Amino acid sequence: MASSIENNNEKLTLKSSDGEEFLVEKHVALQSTLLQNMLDSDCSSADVIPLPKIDARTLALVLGYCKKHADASSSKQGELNSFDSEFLKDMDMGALFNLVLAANFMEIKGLLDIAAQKIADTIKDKPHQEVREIFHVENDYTPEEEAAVREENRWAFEGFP
Amino acid sequence: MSLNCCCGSCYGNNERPCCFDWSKLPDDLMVQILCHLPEKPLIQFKCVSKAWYFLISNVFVPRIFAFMPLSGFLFRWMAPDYKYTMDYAPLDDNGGEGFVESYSTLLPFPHTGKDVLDCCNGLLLVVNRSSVPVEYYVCNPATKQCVPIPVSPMHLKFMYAKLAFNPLKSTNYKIVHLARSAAIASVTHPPELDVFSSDTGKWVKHLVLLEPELYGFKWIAHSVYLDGVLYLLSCAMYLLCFNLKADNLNAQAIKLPEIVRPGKFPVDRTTILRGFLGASKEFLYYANHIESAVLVWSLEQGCCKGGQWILKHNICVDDLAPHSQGRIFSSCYPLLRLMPYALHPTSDVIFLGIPSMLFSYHLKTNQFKVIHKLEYGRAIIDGQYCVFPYSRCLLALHNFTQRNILDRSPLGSELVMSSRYSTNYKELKELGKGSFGTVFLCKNLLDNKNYAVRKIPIKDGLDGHREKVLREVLALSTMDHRHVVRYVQAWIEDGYTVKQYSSEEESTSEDSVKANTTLYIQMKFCPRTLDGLLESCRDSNTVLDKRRVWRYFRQIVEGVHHIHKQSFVHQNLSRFNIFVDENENILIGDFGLATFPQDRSCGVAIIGDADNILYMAPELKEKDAQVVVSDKADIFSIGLLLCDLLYQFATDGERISVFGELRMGKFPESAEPILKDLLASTPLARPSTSEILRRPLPWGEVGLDYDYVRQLGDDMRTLHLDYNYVRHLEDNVRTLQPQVAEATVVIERLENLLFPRPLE
Repeated sequence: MASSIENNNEKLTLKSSDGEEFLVEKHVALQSTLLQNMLDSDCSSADVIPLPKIDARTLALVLGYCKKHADASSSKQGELNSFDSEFLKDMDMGALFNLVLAANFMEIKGLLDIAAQKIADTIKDKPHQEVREIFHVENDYTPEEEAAVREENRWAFEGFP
Repeated sequence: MSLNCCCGSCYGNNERPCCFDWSKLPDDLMVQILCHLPEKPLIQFKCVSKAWYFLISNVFVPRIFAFMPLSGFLFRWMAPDYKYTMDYAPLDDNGGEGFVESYSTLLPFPHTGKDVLDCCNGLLLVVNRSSVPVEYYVCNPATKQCVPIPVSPMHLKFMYAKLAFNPLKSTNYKIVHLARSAAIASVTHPPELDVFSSDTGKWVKHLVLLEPELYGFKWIAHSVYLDGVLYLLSCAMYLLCFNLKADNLNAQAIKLPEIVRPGKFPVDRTTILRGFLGASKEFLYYANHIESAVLVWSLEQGCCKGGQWILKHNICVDDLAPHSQGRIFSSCYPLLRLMPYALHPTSDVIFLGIPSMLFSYHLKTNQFKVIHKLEYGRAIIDGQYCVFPYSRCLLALHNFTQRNILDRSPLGSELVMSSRYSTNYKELKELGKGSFGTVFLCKNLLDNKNYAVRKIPIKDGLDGHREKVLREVLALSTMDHRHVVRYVQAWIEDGYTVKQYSSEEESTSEDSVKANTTLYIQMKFCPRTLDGLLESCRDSNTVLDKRRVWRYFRQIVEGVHHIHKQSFVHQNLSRFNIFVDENENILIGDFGLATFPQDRSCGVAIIGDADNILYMAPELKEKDAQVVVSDKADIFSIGLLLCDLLYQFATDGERISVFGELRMGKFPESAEPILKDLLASTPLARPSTSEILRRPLPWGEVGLDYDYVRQLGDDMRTLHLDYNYVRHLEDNVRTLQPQVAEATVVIERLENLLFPRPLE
């Protein structure tokens, strides 16, 4: 495995909100700006780093992403792109949301972007009523108000059912 | 392994794909997700909830605008036949077709090449030039919206109006209407700017107190809105700054950079007119010429700290010479002058042009690119004022639901530019000619009915003429009373000889109407004037009985009462413009001299024909412009009309001499006591219309009919009726009760008037 990191064997332990521990190579962890900052400020790299906001399933996904991106060389952008789309392909909305939260918390810009894009792509053709359900947003409009907002923005509904 | 959702309850439940607690997603993450959406779905999702609505409207729409590239230019060109056309030049080669249609089809009136006044950060300000009072519309071509701005009845004339909008600062916009021309303004009568705010939906008047006192100079009809301040150029060679956020506008004037032309007089009038004002990257720029060069200054430190001009660029036509197109310019100078047309809002690009071409020039790299070439014979009009950069903005425009009194008038929405008169009307005969146009009897070919159509040529040169003419329309359109001539509609038709467009003056000239512009006012046709009625009585040796006299008089007073209630003064009441319809009811017409409170002193400028002068109040005849015309002027005319009705003079000579005596205060002993009050020489001593109606005059003779009863109810609230009169009405209405359904309602109202609140 090609890596530019000097000490390939240095590893750190991440602990999910539900107590599961993950052993990761340092260069993989460096994909996360949060972890990078922690390591830079020497927050005792030997210890277990707790990630109280991220559950095990999500953390596994996040680390899978990080590993792929850390190991791939920059020349293989095309390969990475296909990995990214495959990575998110069959993911349900709940997993995506957690991924977004985790990517945001761990400051993994690339992952945040593709997960947010995936959510946006999923909802963009859905009627707003369905979006309301997906996001569990309470409809605080009266029917008249909703009709007025729709009327005010009629151009955006052109070509939509 | 336990699967936990962030909400801790239901992750992994297959029946519900997600149970995501929306409130736990931080706003910045929401923004992260939504910013990946295409425009249309994003805007659709305003319907999700109020929180989404505000997030999308206030965060995304400005954010999208911030990244929106400059898409093109809206500009005007003139054809060889002097017709103006609005056009659009896209910055890229693709797109741009149908842009003008995208907003012009939204307008509720026929689109002309002159109706777009301004374009500011994606919004367009459009004026309906044939409406009175002025109607403004704000259009957003990106959202396919056009909203009418509430009409201010005070805006009789369009002179100058600008739009102030910057979505990066606020999603509200402002419209600035110049209410009093800067050219005629003085220290005592400073220019007035009316400012409309989209957040309040109201117009607010501001007096412009300039420091230094630059009054009497015209303003250039072009402005730039930057950081809450509206900048425009005064012909006094100053930059004017109005802070639209400040209550007093905080008007400032900054001297423009001096332009020294070797061997020439320092500054001539045309220098300022070639000046260009623009904004880029939060700075204000001013540009002008020296010889063939364009000099560009920026205003440092803004207007507030007495800004300073720094010369930033000196673009010489020769700089363009290496470019093939540039050689054209250098060989053509000074015939073709290079004009700065616009600045790129975010980069170091200036857009320059000659009348047949628009091109961009990069100030750092000298890169030169032709953006638009006009077809042969077409010329960009006043590019330095009328080439508007356009970038799409997705702001949704709110409709101002506020109802205005003029909304019900057909003015504006029904005005058309094609010759409606010649296609829809058959002229039957001339009814009369007056100081205010000629009245024709016309058959309307649509409903086959006869109407009186007044044709008023709008004279270009005569100061204030257009305003006076339009005042009649305004007066008519607000009148809705059974004793006021029913106004049907009004429209303006332009002839086709178009005045040469002039850039030498402020926008008043741009707006000035051609000599053959005609205002048409369609009114109900009343075949008989009061004069005609009295003449026929005289000819047949009959005398109007007292009952009819007081009935007519009452109706005249009621009509005038309504006019005064609308804050108008008729100023021209006489037996020639009071009509008697087929049911023997009075109708008051001819509002040619009507004034309203804002300029009570201008009625004296025009004197009507001799017959009308006979009835004029003495204060109106004084040519002293300082005289304040009050509604009491009409009371004097009412007094003379009462004489006419009561005495029914045998000859005109007798009438004129009696009127003369009455004017001097000589009243015959037998005269009705009220005459003395009505004809008092001091206006203040005359009673008001409601006071007259309350007088114990022989109102008892006033007859009633169906229409009368029907409309009576409306007056109840506003008119203080005489006790005896009400009693009398009640009796009359009771006799009508079986035939008129409304009579019961009227009786109830009358009883309410009589019993709980006896008269003062």
